[in-house]
Amino acid sequence: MGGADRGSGTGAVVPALGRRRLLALLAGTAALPLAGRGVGRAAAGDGRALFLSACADAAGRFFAGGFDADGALAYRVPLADRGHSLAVAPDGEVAVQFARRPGRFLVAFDPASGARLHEVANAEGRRFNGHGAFSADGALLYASENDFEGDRGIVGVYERAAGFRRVGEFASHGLGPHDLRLMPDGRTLVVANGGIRTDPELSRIKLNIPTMAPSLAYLDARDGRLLDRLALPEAQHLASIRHLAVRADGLVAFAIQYQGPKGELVPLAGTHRPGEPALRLFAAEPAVLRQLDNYIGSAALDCSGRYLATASPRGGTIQVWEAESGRPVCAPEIADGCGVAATEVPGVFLASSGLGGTFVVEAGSGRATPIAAPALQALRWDHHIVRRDA
Amino acid sequence: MMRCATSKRRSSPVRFGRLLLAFCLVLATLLPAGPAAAALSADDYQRVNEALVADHVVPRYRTLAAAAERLDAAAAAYCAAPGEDRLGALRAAFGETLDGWMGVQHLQFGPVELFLRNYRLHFWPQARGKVGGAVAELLAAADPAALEEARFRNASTAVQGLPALEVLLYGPDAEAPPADYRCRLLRRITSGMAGMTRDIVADWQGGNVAFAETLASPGEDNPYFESAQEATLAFFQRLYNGLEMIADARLRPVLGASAEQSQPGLAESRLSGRSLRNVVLNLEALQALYLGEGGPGLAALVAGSGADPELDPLLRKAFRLTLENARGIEPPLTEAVADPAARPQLEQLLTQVRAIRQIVRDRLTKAIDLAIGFNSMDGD
Repeated sequence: MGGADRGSGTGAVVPALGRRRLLALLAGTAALPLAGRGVGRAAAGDGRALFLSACADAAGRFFAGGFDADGALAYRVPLADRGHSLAVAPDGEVAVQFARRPGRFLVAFDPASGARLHEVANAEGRRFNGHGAFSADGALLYASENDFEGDRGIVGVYERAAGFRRVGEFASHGLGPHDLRLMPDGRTLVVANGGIRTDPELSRIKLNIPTMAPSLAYLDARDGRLLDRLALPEAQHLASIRHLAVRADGLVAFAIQYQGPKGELVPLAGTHRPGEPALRLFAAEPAVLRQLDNYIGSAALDCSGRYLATASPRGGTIQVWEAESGRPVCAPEIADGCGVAATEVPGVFLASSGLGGTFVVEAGSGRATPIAAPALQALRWDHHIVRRDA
Repeated sequence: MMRCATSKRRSSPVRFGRLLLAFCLVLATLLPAGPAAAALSADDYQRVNEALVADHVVPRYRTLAAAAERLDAAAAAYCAAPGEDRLGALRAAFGETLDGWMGVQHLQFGPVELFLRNYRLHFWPQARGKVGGAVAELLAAADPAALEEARFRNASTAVQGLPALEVLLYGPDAEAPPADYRCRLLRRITSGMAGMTRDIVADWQGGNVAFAETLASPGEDNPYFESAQEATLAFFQRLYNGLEMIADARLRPVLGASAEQSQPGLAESRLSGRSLRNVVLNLEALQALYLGEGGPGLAALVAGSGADPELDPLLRKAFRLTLENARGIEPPLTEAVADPAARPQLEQLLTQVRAIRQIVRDRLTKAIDLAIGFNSMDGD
């Protein structure tokens, strides 16, 4: 499988598109011509932005990849192990790829060229959980981590000017912190405490499902002081809050991975406005929820803030919601689709698949159109796409 | 303004096979040439699903329920007149129940998931020392109200199942004449387990849940399974996850990187010395899921598709050799990890289990046309 970034495609990975994808193809909803070069750009803006995502090639090597809306692969940064999400500094001059939990490294690179800048190992007794965010001035990087000995979630703090040296940490005020974002006020961090206890020696096995207690925590980015913490009603404690998207006006959208029985259909997305006393869940018809298979792997708001896209790789569905009302808008199908990011066009997202390839997702038409780009189709794209504006 | 609908048209499962050709043509435009897609029909999947429920799932849960009932009786007998013989009989009944659980522990879907039964019956692995601590705390407090049935059902899962029972039967003071409260705790656990396992069997077969029927009647209104292929995917996931648990929870952490770095304290069922027996029983159950038990198993789909003629002999051989190796390891796992003769066998066992896992992930999914993705398989 040498030179695997071209040619062999996903045939060596998993041949079949998902069941739902298959049915969609047969029903004609997704049997669209591939978007040729230029189509992605037309749908996704002027194309100067780069999209960053962890990926793997057919030989099982891991990278952080950068590509444009047109499907041109700009670079691949080799990683020692599987990556998860990334953070881009506000000035766009540095990006950080976090290792997949229980992660042992973060890799800082130049998101324009893919040039590798720094690699930082996990601190003693800590592991990366795969997500992070920069401070408003770009001087600090916050990473979600676990303190296994202390049995608590941690936000690790890294100093950019010092080669991302770890300079501090504070509690995330919950177990298993996962996604973490800086609020538009520039002073507050919002953390999705998934609530699940793990042990680095026990792979990724979940150790406390019966007693898990997920939460959404707001922390002061300066000192980690807990500003607010919200949980779902106790009866919904199996709903692990994992992923976040934050709107310019401070609306926080969150996405859930439900740990209960597969046939129990529960709300999997919702919003919170800082200061409000409770989380608001998006109620939806069983038919909508079932397509998500109790599992949302990533979330993104479009550039207008009107639409929230939540991706379920298990259900092979990108569910688009109206962020304000919680109304389901459409659910285009992408087998093993998980990465999703806003483009520069309102209502249009870029999405990716673990079976290979990227897609333009339009809330207006409800379509997911594959982008014709052999280099991107030859890579398995991991959970998250993060945009870096030019 | 939004023109897209939230529900989509779907093709009926009956048309599945016929339309597969159309699918392949579309697929060919999306992907470079790969192995031919398997020509399995919805009926093929359905037949295997129904056979696995009838021959594999239900009989194994019945075996567990019967063992749990004998265990409850043995606990009653022991508590009526404690003594060495009856403790021995109780321990034997515990072993049979644990065996029964190891024969179904891979089947983590359906009725066993309801009311957290899976965790209440055998919550493992969980945080170290948790079970022993929780049991000791309960015994020290000796609060009769804590053992009231309704309350106990909602108590920590750590004290409700086989791991707590193991602490009572093999842990501190196990051989001393039991205090009244200790016996009442024993009985509460065993009667709870007998009830739960009885209910699981009942829920597979009838009542409000009737999970056998849920599995056998996939469709748009079925909250669990939309197609027969999706129900087969659930069985496949049980196979894959079962292999993963053996490698990642039962063996690798205990073995560590070397004999010096081994951690016998992490072994499952360490107190009763049944760690390796558990692994053997897990492997036998997974082998049975693949081969079928009287009726067809997943292997029948491999044969039916013909997409990978070498796969079935390979998997049969892999299971056989792996089981032979596992059965041939003499000392208990906790000692074998540091035993110069046995450790290489254990390391080989871990390699073998991982190899089977890789074969089922990379080839079985393809051969029987189940879509398992990079992301959907991962969970995060």
